[in-house]
Amino acid sequence: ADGARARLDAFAKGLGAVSAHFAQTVYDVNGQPADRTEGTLALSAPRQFRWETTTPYKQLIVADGMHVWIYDPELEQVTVRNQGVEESHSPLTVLTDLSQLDREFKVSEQGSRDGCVWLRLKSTAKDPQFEYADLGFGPAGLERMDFKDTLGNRTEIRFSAWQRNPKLPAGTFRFTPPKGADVIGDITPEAEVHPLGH
Amino acid sequence: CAPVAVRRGGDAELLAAQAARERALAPLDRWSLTARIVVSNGKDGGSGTLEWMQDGAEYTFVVRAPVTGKSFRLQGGPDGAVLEGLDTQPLRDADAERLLARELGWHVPLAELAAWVRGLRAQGPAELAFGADGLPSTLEQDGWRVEYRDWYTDRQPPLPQKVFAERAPYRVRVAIERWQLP
Repeated sequence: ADGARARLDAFAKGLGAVSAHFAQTVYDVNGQPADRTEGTLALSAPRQFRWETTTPYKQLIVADGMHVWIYDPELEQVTVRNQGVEESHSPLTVLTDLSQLDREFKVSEQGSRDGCVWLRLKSTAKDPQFEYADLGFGPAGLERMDFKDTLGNRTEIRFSAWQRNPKLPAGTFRFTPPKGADVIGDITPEAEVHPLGH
Repeated sequence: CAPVAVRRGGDAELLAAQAARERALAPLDRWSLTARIVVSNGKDGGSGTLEWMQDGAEYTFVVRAPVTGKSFRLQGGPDGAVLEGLDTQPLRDADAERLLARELGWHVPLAELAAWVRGLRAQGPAELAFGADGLPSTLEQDGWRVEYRDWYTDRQPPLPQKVFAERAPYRVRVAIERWQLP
């Protein structure tokens, strides 16, 4: 069957790293677009991702496998957190490590709409940050990811220009705070990195 | 682009211009902004996109960090505050600032920030310094030092674009993408 799950497995087969362009729209509770951003993403199994917003503002999120760094150059601020359990339940890391899918999500076919066949992922976490995340597969592979956050705001991400196992620059999944930026958050030394409890 | 020369607030002409800006803006009690916000106490904190809708004495303050952090909606007003999104149940308190500090560890002077974010002095004594553009460059009030790093000068009266507020060890930084005023 050419269901969404089969399309996901085909997309994930032999996937070490991948990069793409994203266009993200966050809708407020009455369905109005509240925040539109665009940029590039790179993912590398099992736990590394880079989410670089370029318009209308610059913001960089890097998960290096141990920590998630968020850098806002305009606000001159770096926030860092342990890449704990929470991250493994964010739709972003689903894409990064599709082999974890069945362990951390209940998966169900949602049929087709908007030119895609859809797969719904419901987190098995105690109190997930997402009600669910829907992956939409079209002619170009994974074209859409929609999810609703705890406030009921819907986020819609459109992917394009997928590159499978691209040659990525050396520091793609590393982040060093620039001089002068204010760094906050918890940088636990590697030995003590353990999943964050809620 | 930080302003070049800083002229102390003693300059009557600049203070008069500020008073005129405050007379023009203060009565507009329905406004909203879309921004990015970072809050910290020097060790820890959080960040996200911010939507602030003010309607007279009532306001809604929504922070979203879906991938990297917590999203929450704080509704405040004269008869108390409600915080949703952090827990399965809404959290309540008579005081919005206390609720935010208790539930999220965020120390945000919401009442005063509503004025500061528009480049206005809040109630009470304040010390102003102006930039070469004649607009406030820093505002010191209630122990907070508010720096106006950038302004939208393509409107009248101008409104801030980047506001860095600090009262050690607390810090609130806002980069405003869009203003909506009547």
